[in-house]
Amino acid sequence: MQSKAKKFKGFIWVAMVVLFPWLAFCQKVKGPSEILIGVINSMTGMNAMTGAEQKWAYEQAVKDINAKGGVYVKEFDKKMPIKLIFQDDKSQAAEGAAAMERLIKYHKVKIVLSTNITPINIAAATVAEKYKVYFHVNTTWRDVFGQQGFKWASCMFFTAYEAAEVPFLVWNYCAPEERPKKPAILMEDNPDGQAFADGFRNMSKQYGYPLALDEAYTPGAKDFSSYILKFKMNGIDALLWLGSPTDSIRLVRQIKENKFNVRYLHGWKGFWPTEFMKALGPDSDYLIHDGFWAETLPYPGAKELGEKFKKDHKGLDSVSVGLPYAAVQVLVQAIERAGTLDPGKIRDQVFGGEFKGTVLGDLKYDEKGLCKTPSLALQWWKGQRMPVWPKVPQYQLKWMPAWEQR
Amino acid sequence: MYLNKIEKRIWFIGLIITIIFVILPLGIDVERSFLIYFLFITFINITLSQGWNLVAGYAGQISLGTHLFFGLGAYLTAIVWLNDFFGIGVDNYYFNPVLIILSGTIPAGFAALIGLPLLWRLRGDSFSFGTLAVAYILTIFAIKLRKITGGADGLHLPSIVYESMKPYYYVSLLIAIGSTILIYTIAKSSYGLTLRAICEDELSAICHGVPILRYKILTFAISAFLAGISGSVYGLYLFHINPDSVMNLNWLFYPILICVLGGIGTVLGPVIGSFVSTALFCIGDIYFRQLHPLFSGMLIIIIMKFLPGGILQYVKYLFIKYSKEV
Repeated sequence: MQSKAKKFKGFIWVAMVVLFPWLAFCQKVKGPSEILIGVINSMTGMNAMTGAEQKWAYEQAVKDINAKGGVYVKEFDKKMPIKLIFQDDKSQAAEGAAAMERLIKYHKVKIVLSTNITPINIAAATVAEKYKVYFHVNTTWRDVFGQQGFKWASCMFFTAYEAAEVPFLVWNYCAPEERPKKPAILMEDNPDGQAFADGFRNMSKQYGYPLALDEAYTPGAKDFSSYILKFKMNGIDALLWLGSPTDSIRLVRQIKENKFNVRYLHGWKGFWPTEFMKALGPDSDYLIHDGFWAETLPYPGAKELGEKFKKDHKGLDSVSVGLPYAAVQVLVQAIERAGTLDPGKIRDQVFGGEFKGTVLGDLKYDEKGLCKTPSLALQWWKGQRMPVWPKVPQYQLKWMPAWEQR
Repeated sequence: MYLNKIEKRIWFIGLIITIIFVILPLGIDVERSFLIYFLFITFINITLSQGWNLVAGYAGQISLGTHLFFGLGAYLTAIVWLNDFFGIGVDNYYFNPVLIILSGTIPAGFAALIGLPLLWRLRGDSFSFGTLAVAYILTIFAIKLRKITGGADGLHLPSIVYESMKPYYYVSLLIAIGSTILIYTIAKSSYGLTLRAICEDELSAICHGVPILRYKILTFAISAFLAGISGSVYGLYLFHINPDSVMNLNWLFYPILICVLGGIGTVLGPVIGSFVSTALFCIGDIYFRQLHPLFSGMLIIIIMKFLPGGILQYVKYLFIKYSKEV
């Protein structure tokens, strides 16, 4: 009996003594045989769909680079393969910060690639600043990110203003009688949405399309019927929307259920994933979505990347993967130029650096670490993405007919 | 008699662990250690959970507004700091003890204010939903009052002041110990006994002359105070306060889960629950990245299935069993 009691006490003590130091000491120490790069990615939560494409692009870029022998690092006088370590931000800002902590302290990474949501990247960049870890960000409003004045984070994307200009450019090339008379915006109420809404307000004045309604909703909202009713009552004929894929699917379904016959429906962030089109089926026709990249762009490797994506996704294409893919290409060039894995020296190569031959063309960062990339517009049509902006002669924008006429 | 003996042993073990925690940063690289970050989050969870434990476990009032007080604490810290309300210069707010205490006191006052109508008229589920509704309204205010709260983008504190994880670690440890001692003191006092009476049978407590509204409001305020100071310290760590980060529903679910897991209505339950659940979440996040909700959820179901009274109850059962055998 006594031995049993002793055994139990011993077990309790061992459990206490082992459990906590284990968390501190079990981290693996990696030698310089590979380049460890951390990745914060929305694997779960409301942005999981867009996160999945970003994850695929990072993995594909690393696969292609490693297939060529890896990255030459002068300090070690050899080519080294890249190893990506992913951490889930659960589509939440605080979890983005926690993911950065895990990457830095548990996985011991000194270079981190970003997720695709502005608030999450800002929260994660704040942590990276504390520990002087280089954070290579993409798909985050360049102006909002730039306002934070981060010293250890760069950003490649367009600004909310640049993106907000696109629908007005599209309308301007249409015949005057076709152009929308009563446009409205419905933005998610968060930094992304606020920045975007400001852009639309300014651009609508600049291009002479005054907004008939200016609305914001809480991300994750389940019922849009009150907004839709308001749009119907005000005779809105064009709606510009920003939301996650799940919110976007919900919105379009409720627009159809409520028979809101808007002629032009343009969505950012949530409208472009292939899952969006698959979820809505034929109802996705006529919908316009944003894009950061297209395989038809005349850049080296763009077509091949598009084909690889289609091969892995049963023929479906992507308008996002080129951006994170190019981010890895930029990072690799920066590592090679720095000749070391020191995060400060790699960052110095990116800030003010020029990078040629990426799948997004030649990219140039300014001295603050900000890099402009193009914003596109495409229309879903029978499961395909048709280019709307920049305008191409082969395709003409299709205005949405009434739901009962489809 | 057995329980007293067990409690003494548990407190003795707790004391030794506390001493280990105090000296731990002396032996490891605080800035690069994941353990320090893990313990910081655990200590924050302990303080937050002790607050919820007091109001739900001891007084029997299931509050669903913990995230509101947590967020309020974080926002107050940021607003006071950025606007230099104390007039001491913006460089002097980082870990200012008065600021942290104030960030707990104002949520406590606010809890007393909303507690009056909520606890006076609403009982059981109605009270729970009442607190959830207030939290939802305040979250909307946090988004809409852009001039004060920075709207959905929130408030950015100057992260340049950051030098080390040590102050985060020690301050969070201090408030975790303080909150545990506070709950222990309450549990052992006549106040704690009154809360038990309210929890068991409100009508009976009223019939015995207990001014239940006063006790319930006081308990709700203490709970909000603990949530507020933990929110303040977490806000100082995050440097970016917005509704998504500090008024997220996670800050409501975590304390509930922790208390249920560790042992609701006990002093050490939230402590044990915090360590176990934070460790489970960390392991899930690190090793089961895309599957972590599944992994964490399964483990929680298993623990709750086999340990319905929480881990602490099982530990006590084992102590009694082996002590009898001895």
